[in-house]
Amino acid sequence: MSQAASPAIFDRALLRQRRTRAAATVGQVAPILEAAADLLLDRLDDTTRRFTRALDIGGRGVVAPRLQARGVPFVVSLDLAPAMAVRAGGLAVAGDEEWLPFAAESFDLIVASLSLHWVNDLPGALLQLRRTLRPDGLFLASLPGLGTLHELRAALAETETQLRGGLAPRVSPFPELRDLAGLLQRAGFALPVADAEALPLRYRSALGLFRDLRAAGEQNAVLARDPRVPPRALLALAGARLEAAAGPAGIEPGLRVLTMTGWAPHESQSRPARPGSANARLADALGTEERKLS
Amino acid sequence: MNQADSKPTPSGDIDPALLEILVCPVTKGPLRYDRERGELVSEAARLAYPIRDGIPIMLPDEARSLDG
Repeated sequence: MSQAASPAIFDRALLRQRRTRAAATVGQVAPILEAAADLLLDRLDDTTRRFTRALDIGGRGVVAPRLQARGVPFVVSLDLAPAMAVRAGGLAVAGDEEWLPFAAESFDLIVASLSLHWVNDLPGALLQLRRTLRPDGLFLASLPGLGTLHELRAALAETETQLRGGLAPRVSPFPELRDLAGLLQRAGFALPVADAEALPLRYRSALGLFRDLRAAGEQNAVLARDPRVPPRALLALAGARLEAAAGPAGIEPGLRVLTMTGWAPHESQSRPARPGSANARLADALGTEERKLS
Repeated sequence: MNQADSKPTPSGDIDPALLEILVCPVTKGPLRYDRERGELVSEAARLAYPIRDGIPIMLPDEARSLDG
């Protein structure tokens, strides 16, 4: 069943398996997920709004408890894998961001911390999310941006080229910052803002990095992944390359976190006036003379 | 309000507050709660979504087709 003509990049069934398996191990990477959640939820301090009905998407046990601690009484946790939804901390629902199972205007806050990067149809998902928000509801999301795992991507590419003279995508394609504000606007969000922050990570060995990616359920789920070269052999070689290139501080895979905020439109929000609707001349306001461009 | 009070029971009952906002992910239409079978039924999509351990599984490819 396909929802739109948008091309499928990620294998959602495989992703669900990975998240089911990772439900047991995700605690190992809790510090990283917690740091990312804090980075995102700090944005709530910028508003005086009180939220009462929140949706936590893919929160993996670090988002819902933080929302509850901030006094949000009703929190629903959505995850592709039921096992992960259960440990998320809110009322558990297994579901797909591309097939959102919530009625219009169900929530006044939606938080997706590092979880929307496996969505095939991000514009479609954002549109559905906006519709489940009440007017003046807030959407807060972070996702790994272009530049994340950059060194790993390069090491894998070099190793694979050496092994078999070809390349397959092994690190997820990440979006660029400038794409995101436009996406929010297209989905009908008001006051859209997108910005980037770096979340520094440091590993002594490549193995540690691979173990964490697996524990978080973040291994490659790109549909075009190539099964011919076994990842085990490739990872060992690429890992050695990463370690050789690392500085004295170890491997710094760099998580570049892109944050999106947008509000469901409401009449109380400021918005630009229609072009041509001004009733005073800019030249008068500036106390200058208006001249035609030659 | 305490969320612990509204956790699903082991029998697989679904939280009423959750039931209120769930819709069919395919049609966005209403769902009928079939308590006996532990399913959420979307007549419009001809699909029944299972409830396992109190968790609604709102995935179209996990749903049972009503047309057999």
